Amino acid sequence: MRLLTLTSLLVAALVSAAPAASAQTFVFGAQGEPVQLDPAVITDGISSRLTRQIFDGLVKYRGATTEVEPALAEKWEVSRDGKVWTFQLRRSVKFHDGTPLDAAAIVWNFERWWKASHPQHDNQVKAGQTFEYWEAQFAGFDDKSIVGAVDAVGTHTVRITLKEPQAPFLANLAMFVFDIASPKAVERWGTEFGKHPVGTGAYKFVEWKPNQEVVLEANADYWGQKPRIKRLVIRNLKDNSQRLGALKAGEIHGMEGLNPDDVGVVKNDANLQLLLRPTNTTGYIAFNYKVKEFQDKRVRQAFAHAINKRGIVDALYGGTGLVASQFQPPALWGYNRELKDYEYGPSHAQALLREAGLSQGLSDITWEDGKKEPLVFWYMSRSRPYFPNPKEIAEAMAADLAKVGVKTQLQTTEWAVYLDKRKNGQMPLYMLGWTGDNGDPDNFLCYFFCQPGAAREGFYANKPLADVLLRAQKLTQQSERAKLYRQAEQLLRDDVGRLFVANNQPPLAFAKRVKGYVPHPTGSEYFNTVEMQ
Amino acid sequence: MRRYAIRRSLTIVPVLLGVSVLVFSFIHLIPGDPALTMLGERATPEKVAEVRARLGLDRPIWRQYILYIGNALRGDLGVSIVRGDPVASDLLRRFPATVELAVAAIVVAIAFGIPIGVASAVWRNSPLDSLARLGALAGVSMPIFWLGLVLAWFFGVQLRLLPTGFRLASGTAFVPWTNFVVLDAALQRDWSTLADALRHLILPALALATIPLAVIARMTRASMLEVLSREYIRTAEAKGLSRRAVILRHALRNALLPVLTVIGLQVGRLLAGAILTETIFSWPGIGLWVYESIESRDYAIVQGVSLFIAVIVVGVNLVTDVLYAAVDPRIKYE
Amino acid sequence: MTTLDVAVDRRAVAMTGRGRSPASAAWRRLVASPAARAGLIMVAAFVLVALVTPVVHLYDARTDANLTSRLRPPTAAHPFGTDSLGRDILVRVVHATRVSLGLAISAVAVATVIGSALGFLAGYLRGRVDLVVMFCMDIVLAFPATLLAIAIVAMIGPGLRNSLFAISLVSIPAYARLSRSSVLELREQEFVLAARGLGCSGWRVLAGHIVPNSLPPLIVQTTLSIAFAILEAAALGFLGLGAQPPTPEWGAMLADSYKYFTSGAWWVFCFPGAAIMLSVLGFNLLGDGLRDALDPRLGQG
Repeated sequence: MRLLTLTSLLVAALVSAAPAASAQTFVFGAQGEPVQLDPAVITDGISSRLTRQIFDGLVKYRGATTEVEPALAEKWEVSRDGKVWTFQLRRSVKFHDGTPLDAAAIVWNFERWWKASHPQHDNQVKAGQTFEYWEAQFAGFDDKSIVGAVDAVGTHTVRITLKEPQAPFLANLAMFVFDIASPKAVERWGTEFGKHPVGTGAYKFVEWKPNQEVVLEANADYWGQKPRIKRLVIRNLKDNSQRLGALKAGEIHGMEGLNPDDVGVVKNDANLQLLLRPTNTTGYIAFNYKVKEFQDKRVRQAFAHAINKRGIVDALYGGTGLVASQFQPPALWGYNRELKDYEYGPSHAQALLREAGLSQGLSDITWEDGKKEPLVFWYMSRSRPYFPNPKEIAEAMAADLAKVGVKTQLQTTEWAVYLDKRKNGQMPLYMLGWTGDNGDPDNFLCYFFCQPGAAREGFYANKPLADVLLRAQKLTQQSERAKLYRQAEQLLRDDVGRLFVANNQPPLAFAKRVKGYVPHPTGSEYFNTVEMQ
Repeated sequence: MRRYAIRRSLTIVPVLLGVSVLVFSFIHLIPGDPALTMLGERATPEKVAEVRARLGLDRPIWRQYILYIGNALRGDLGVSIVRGDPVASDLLRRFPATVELAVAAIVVAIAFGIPIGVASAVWRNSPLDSLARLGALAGVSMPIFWLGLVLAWFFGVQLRLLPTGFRLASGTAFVPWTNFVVLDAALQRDWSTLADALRHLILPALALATIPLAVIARMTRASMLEVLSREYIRTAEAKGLSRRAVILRHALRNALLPVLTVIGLQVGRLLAGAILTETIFSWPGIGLWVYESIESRDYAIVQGVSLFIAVIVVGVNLVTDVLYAAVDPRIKYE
Repeated sequence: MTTLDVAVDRRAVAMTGRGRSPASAAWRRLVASPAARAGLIMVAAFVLVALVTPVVHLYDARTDANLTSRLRPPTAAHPFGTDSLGRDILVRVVHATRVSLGLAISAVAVATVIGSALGFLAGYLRGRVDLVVMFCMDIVLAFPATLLAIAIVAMIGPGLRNSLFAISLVSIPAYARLSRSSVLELREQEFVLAARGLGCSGWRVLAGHIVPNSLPPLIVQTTLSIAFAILEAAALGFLGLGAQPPTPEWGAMLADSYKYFTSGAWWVFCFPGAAIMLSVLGFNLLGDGLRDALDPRLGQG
């Protein structure tokens, strides 16, 4: 056809004119839009990928490990009883807005996280944001918190006094949520700070084009290794295939969130390289314990026997996944190797459902307040490291469940809304997962199970489990703690508190000429070490 | 003629009012308390109260409408529920991308549709005509999101010839003046950016052009056939004018009038089609924005864009009608 | 659609009292055109598939998943290949026919009844009723149909029932306009005036003479509307607003699978899309053919 020949002529004319992207610019394809860029209130990896470049914490992880090394704090010491930590700050570090990083700024940040009456805390809460991580890692706000005092004892010396020792304290401080923000900028922007982030990091914020990209530029005054890439663009390419297409076309230079089926494609492409993140991530199904049917352990056991995890991991993870028997990934030192997982057995599942009085199967549920509704099985709308293709995994699991008579309705919603629904305990049955933040088993388990009955955990209340976890938190001997974490996994397994589905080694893909990108188990990856050849 | 134009312009006033009522009522289509549904799980009591006040939900419904239309007339389409930004300014920032895409599509549609239609009419019942007619019918039957996928797969993945998303290669240090990237690049004499922008434009424009192209081809053919059967064409032929001259100078000019109307009618379809096309090609215009707003249940954006597009469609129809009247000597309006 | 506008403009022919049976004459004209024949066969094939499939083949989408045979290219066992869950695409495309066609046809049925009733009333009663009805129709027509359908479903929530509501709503104005113009024309014609002269009541004239005689353009419009409704339904499904997983529906199948185009799995999006296009093409061919057949004055338009 004429149309076709003309088009191909036009195409040929334009193809030769493809511009070469500047070597000074690195474009990274992210899986979605950041929620916002205030590290203190975000919880998601898409946002934290950006804040990690813009902000620094007191301490950071070394290379690909979860060992801690100095960052804004040059050195520190801890008292004998493990309660008083004194940090010496690096001198002459400045925030991007020119204000100095000093002890006062550190104290200001801690007070903001910690004290509910702090104006910059209070305004966030009123705007619907919570300091979720602070609450989880440091046992709440104000007097409830394990933190007893934070003082500036010199212009560059900060002393933090804990009410009791906390084993993973330093590892906690290295998490992205405890990166230090410029007090002046936070006060200027208030709840809008998340759109105008100012930190001390290797990159400065330049511009956020909504639904397109966030642009950062190198901070020439950075105190650490100076970035080689001058301009860093984190582009929102929601669709996995499209992102890979952009990588192949040279429009982007690196990406996360590869379709499992594309892992092989990247391996076989001479221009691309595949990097795997050490596994530190677990995907699970959570029950809502306000649903009467799920209060019966036999029903939960039936679910555990109904789902063919092996089949799902083999088929839908592109060879980078592992079947999960417990919450902690195998690499963590609290992992329970003796634990016996529920075996796949549809007939066993059916028998359990019959025992629970559900011989007709389960398709409608009853909430505690008496409301009846169809059983909705929620899945997230976008790919996560632990569930690389949530919709397919959900459909596969729903099919497994349907085969034993549990007929669910699959439903999804936008990611931020999904997280909010989860926070408020509104989903009867849902998929979620976790990527460890600091390499400590506490971070995996305590965040979820230390507060029995929390709405955000589907009102799951397991007091003995919480007790074990809280006890482990206060010990300093790793071998003792490991024992307790193994016990915790056993408790969790026996109660079928959750259904753990898979661990994944999330794949990242880069152009061959990219060097120096270090995949980190926590997903905290820095671009100041990256270069393009 | 001028009186017709004025009279015709006045007829759009009630239509626009009706359109605004319909768009206004969208918010009441949401089952349950709109404020609560809009905020969803973000609903703190303070925010619910704030949204209720902003929408005026505590007032009688006619007052709410007055509030809505008053704001809309002042260019205030409310604020995005998720991000809190004013809808109107985001809309204007994103609209150029959609206009660029729609203009490219309509140019393609006219450039191919009219010649195909003319050829089809001139060589009526030839194999060429049959092929063109079938092609045009296939064109109007085309799910453009599927065509977009096929194009992206073939040219983007198989042949690796063209980009399958966005307006520019990433990292291009190009600062647009007006957000019409093609225009800006040309004005700035930034030829490599211009070429890049055009490369990104090809696939989405082709996908979006398909249906209008087919419609224009069909209309041109029908209109040409009617004109060619008229007396004056036969006279012209009898006078010994070359067939080429007859077709181009006499027939085509007269046949294009109804085609003009049809082109006007395509504007609405292009803007609606942009939702699908932009979604496939990550084209950062208002279509992709609507898609993402649906996902995040940002109703204010869906509402604002719907009103905006409807106003454009009503306006374009008005202009088309008046132009038609101005051009066609046979129509008397007094 | 422009085809619709053309259909609206072209006046229907009163077919009573001419020739033996106008219906059989129209049928002969219809099958004489190769394009219309092709359309008829395509439509018949799709309708047959929609009707017969559930009877001859049991399929429960909720239990369908076979992870050991994912993304297989077409073979004898799976002529259309398998999708990312190892589901047979042929099976799903075929079962989706019922969902997609069912949605389109029911939406058009609702629109036809409501739209033409409104149009007949407006045209027959004229005056204020006419003004109000047609004004409402003009408002709906101010929106591009696809946009309005998407906006409505976005507001009231995704799902098949809501899609049906939205698609029928945006299809109503075409019927209202068409039937109104038929009435306006027919009410001045001799046989209607005669019937009224014989003392028939207004409603009997409307029901007994005007409605039957305005059927031909309505039939054409219905056929073309179904084509359009299939496209709309698929678009809603593609945007995630229509059928919810795992219900097979062509648009939703496209949305499910299109990300696999980078790994070269062309069959996952090729067949559902082709089904949409072919069914729409069939109804469009048939609609064009019907218009020519029911309105002999137009000749080969």
